Amino acid sequence: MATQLEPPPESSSAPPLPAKELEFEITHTTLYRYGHPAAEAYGEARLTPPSLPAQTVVKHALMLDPETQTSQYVDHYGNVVDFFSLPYRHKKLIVRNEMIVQTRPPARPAESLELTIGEARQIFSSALTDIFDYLQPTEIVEIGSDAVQWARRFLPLKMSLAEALPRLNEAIHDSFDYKKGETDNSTTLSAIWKQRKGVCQDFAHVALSVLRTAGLPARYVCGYIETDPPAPGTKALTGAVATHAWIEVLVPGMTWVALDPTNRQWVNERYVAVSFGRDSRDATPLRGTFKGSGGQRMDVKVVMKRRAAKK
Amino acid sequence: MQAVTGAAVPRSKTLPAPAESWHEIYGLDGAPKPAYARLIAYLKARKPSELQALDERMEATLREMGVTFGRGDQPWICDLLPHIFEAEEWQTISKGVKQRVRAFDRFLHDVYGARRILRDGVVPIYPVLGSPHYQNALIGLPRCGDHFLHLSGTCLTRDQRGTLMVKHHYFSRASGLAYMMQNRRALARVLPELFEETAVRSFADAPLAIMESLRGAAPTKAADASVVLLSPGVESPVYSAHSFLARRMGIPLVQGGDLVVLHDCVYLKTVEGLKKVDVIYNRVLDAWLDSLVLRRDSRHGVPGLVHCLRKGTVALVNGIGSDLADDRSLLCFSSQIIRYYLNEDPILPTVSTFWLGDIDQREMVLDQPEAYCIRRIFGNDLAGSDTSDVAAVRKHASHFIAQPREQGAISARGPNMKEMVLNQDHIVYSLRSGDRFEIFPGALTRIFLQQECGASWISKDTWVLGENPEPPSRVRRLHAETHATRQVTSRVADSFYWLGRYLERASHQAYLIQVIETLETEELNSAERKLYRPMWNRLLPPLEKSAGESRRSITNRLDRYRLVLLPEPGTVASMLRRAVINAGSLQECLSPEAWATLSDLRSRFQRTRYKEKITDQECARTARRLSDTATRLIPQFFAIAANTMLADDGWRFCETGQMLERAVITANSVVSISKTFAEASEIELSAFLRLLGTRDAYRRVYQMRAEPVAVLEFLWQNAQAPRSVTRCLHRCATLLRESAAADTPGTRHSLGAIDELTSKIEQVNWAPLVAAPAAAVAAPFENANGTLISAVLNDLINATMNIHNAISDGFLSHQTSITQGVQGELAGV
Repeated sequence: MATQLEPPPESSSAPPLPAKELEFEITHTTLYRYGHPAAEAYGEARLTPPSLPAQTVVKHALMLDPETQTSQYVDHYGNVVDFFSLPYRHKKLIVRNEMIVQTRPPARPAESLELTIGEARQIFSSALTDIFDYLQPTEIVEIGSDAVQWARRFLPLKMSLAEALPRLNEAIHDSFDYKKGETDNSTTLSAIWKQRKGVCQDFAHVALSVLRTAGLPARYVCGYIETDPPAPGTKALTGAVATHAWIEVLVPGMTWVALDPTNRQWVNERYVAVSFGRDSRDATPLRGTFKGSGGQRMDVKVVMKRRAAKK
Repeated sequence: MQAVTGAAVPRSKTLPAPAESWHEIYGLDGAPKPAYARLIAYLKARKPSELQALDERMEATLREMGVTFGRGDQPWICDLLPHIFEAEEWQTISKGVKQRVRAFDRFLHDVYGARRILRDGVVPIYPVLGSPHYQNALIGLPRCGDHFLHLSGTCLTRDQRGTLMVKHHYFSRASGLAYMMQNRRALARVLPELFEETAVRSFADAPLAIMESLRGAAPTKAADASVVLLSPGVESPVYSAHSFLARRMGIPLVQGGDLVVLHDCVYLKTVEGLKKVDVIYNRVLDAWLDSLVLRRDSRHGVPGLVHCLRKGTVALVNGIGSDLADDRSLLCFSSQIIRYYLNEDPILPTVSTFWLGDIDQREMVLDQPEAYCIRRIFGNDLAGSDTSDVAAVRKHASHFIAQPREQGAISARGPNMKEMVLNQDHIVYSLRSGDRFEIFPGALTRIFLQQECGASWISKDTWVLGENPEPPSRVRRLHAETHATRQVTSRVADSFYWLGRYLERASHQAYLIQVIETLETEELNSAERKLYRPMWNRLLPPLEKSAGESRRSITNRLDRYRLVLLPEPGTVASMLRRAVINAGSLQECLSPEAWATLSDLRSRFQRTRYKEKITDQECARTARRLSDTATRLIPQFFAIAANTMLADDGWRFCETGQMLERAVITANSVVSISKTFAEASEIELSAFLRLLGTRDAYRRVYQMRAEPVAVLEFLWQNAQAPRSVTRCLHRCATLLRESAAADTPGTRHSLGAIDELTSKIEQVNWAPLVAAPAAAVAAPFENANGTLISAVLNDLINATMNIHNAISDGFLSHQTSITQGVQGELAGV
C-alpha cells in the first residue's frame, strides 16, 4: 500500500543521483465489450508517449481490432491523438498500445526551485495568456475551501518551491488513503476532500486544486509506473497494472517539474509519461462514444517490463 | 445613453425623463413622420371592422404557413403595422453592423489563434478564455476561408432619445432570419396594396444569396457542393424556422444522427446511400456539436465532426467556436475590439452592459437589481434568458450580465395603432460574400408587450425604404434549384418505416382484442369458447417479445384491458405512443390530413387513463371502445396518407414497414400454433383465421372448411390473400423497386433477400409436412429439433425477420455500403 512507503529516498537539497538509464517494454490493452453489438463507435486515443529530455521513445505502435485506420493530430495540450471511427456493427473493440521507452532521471531546475512561490507568481503574471488554462479550475478540479486552506498552509508565498512542493506532496500522501473502488470518475473532488481517500487520479486532482489556488500553474499527467519486479527490499509502488497519474508544476524558466502525490516522491526514471491536460478528462488515454443499446464493459491491462538495466 | 468603454463606469440609475421622447411614427407636431404618412393614411381610411378582419387574416396566414415559435408550437404573431427604417438611417445601420461583424470575426480568429488582443491587454483574459463558450478543443482548427462569421444577426434597440444602439449579438446563429422572411410574405399576402404605395426594399432573394455564400465556403469550391442544414430537431423552439430555411434553400434539414463520419469525411445517410457533405449550415450550439471532444452528453451532434473540420474535408458555417462572439460579457468590450482590429471608431454604440463576473459591477447591480435586466451571458435562438433570481446570480455571477432597465423609443401597434409600445428591438442580418458583407434590407422587429425584462413579445415586418440595387435574376434561378435536390434522409425513412410497423402492430393487437370481446359477449356458447381460448393465448406471445409474462393472457377482461392500456411495452397504447413519436419527428413530411388522423387517435388514447382498480364491466367497455378506435383510425390513417402524401421514398418506407410487420405477424401466428397444427380441429383453425381477420377471404378462395394444408397455403403462399406472407413481401419488393434508390447496393441486397425468401416459400409443399412424423427431417431444413413442420416454419420466420435486417442495413443504417471492404467482425449481415 502506498501508505506504508518509506520516506522519500531523497530530499530536494540532496545531490542528484548518478544518471541511470532504464528501458521499458510496455503493453497496454483495453477491451470494450458491448451488451449488444454497437452500431457506430468513435474514439480518440491519447496513447502516444512523447519523447522528452527524460524519456526517449524507441518504438511505438497502436493497434485496433476490428482493424481500423486512425487519423492523427496534436491537441491543445501537445498530445498526439489518434482519431478512429467504426461506423459499422461490431461486438467488441480492442485497443492495444505497445512501446519501448528509455528513461533517465529528470533534471530538476535547481535555480528555479530556489525561487519563492511569491517570486514565481510575479514572474508568471506576465505570461498569463499562455498559462491561463493551468491556473483555472475545471469541472473536475473544483476549487473549494479545503484547497484554499491547504494552499495557505503548505504553499505560503515566502517559501521556496524546492521546499513547498515536496511538503504539499507529502501532506496529500499522508492525509489521503489510497483505496481502490471507493471512488470513480463521477466522484466529485469535494467528496474526495471529505472522505480523504481515493486513487492516483484523485490524489492528482487534489494536488492540482491546491497548486492552482496558490497561483501555481499545474497539469495532470497520465502514464505508466514500474512496480514489477520490485527491487529487493522495497515495496511495490502503487499504480502498477493499470495506468498511473501524477502532476506537473510549471516553474519559472517555463519548465515542468513532476511529482507523484500517490507515491510521495518526485517523479523519477521509473515513470513513462504519455498524455497531459488540465485534468483527467483532458488527458484520458481513451475516450469514445458508441451507438448501441446494451451498455459496455471495459477491461484494461498494463504490462510493464524492464528490458535491461543500462549504465 | 452612452456606449460603454472599458470597465463600465457606474452611472446615475434614475434617468430624468427627457422632455420629448423619440416616437417612431409621429413627429413632434403629432403628424405621422414622412416615412409613415402613406401607410397611416391608408390604414386610417379603413373601417375598424375591416382592420380587425385584416389582423385576423394575418394571424391565419402565418398559421397556414406553418410558422410557429417555442415549445408546443405556439403561433407566431406579426403586427399589421410594419416598422420602417428610412434609407439614410439604414445606411448607418448597415455600415455599423458590417463594421462590428468584421471586427468580431477578426477577434474570434485572434483568440482561437495568436491571442494578440489578450497579450496586448486590450481585453482582460478571464471573460474570454474563461468563458463557458470558449472551447479549448477548438483552438487552432482551420475555418473555411479563414473566416468564422458568414451569416450573423445583430440586435439593435433605440433609446428614448432616438439613438440606435447594439443590445446583443446573434453573430454565431442568425436567429430569427426565417421569421423576418415569413413576416414579409404574410404581410404581402394580406395587404399587397401597401407595397404598391411605397418603395420597400426586397430581400426575397436572401435564400439564394445564402446558398451562394454557403457553397462558396465549401472546401472544394465546387458549384454543386452538397450543403445541409444541421438542426437540433423538433426540440428546438425555432424548428419551424429551420425547416423553412432548409425548404427555401432546397437543402436537406438534418439532425446529428443523419450524419456519419467515415475516413475523416462527413456523410449524409440517405435512402440512396451515403452522400458526402461539403458544407454544414449549423444551428446547433458549438458545445453540443461533437460528443467526442465537446460536451460528452450531447445527442445533437456528430461524433468526429471536429476532426473532419480539422482535416478540412467539410466546412461548418458559422465557423465552430463562433458562440464566443455572442457572450454578452464581451458587449462591454465591443468598442475596444472594433478599435483594436479595424483602427476605426465604432459606428454604432453599445447598450451599457455590466458583467457580473467583475466584483465592482456585480455589487453595483445587485445593490439595486430592480433597475436592471439581468441576463445570462448567452441567449440562444430568441429564447428568453432574463432572470430575477438574485441568489442564483450570486452563485454563478460570471454567467450573468446586466443592462439598465429603461424605457426605449415609443411606437404603436395593433390594427388601430392604438396600443403604445415602449420597448422594441430589431435584429439585422449580414451575409458574407468573400471578404465583403451584405446586409439584408429588413429586420426582425420584436415589440415587447410589457416593460419588464423578458416580457413576452410579438413581431413586426420591417421595411427599409428605397430601391433594391441588385438585379432580380437570382430569384428565378432559385426555383430551378430548390426542386433538384430532394433527398430523403435515412432518419426520415427510418421514422416512416417504424411508424408503419408500430401502427400495423397496434392495429393487429387491437383487432384481436376487438374480435375476442365480440365473441365473448355475443356469439359463442361456452363449449365453443373452450376451443377458442387456447388459440387466443397462443396468438399473443409473438407480438411483443419484450412484454412481461404477466400480460401473456388475453383470456379475461382485465387482461385484455391491460393489453390495451397498461403504460408498458407490448400494449396497444404503448405501440401507438411509439408510432406517434416517430410521426412527430416527421411532422414536416406528413400531410396535415394524415397528421390530423394520428393526433385524433393519440388524443383519444390520452384521454383514457389507466386505472388499477376497475370493474369487469368497465374493463370490457374501455377495451372495446379503444380497440374499436384503433382498428378504425389506423387503416384510416394509411388510406388518408396514401391519398394526401407525396409519394416519395419517405412515404414508401411507411408502407414497407406496414407490409413487413404484417408478414412477420402472420408468420409468427402460424408458428405459434404449429406444434398442434396436425391435430387442430376445424373450429380451432376457423377461430385462428377469424382472429387474423382473414376467415371470409379464406372461404372465398377455398369455399371449404378450414383445413391445415389449405390454411398454411393461404397464409404463406396465396398471392391475393390480404395478409399472406407472399403478398406482403411482393408489395415490399414493388415498393423498393419504385424507389429512387432502385439501383443501389442497399436495394439489390434487400430485393435479393426478398426474392430468395419468396421462392423458398413457393417451393414448400405443406401436405407431406403436416402428415410427417416428428423425426423425419429432410433437406433443405436441417438442424431442426421438434417436428418437421415447426422446423420449416422456424426457418421461414427467421428469413422473414431477416428482411428487416436487409432493409435496415441497406437504407437506414448503411451497414451494407460501409462494410464493403471492411474486414471487421459483423453480426447478422
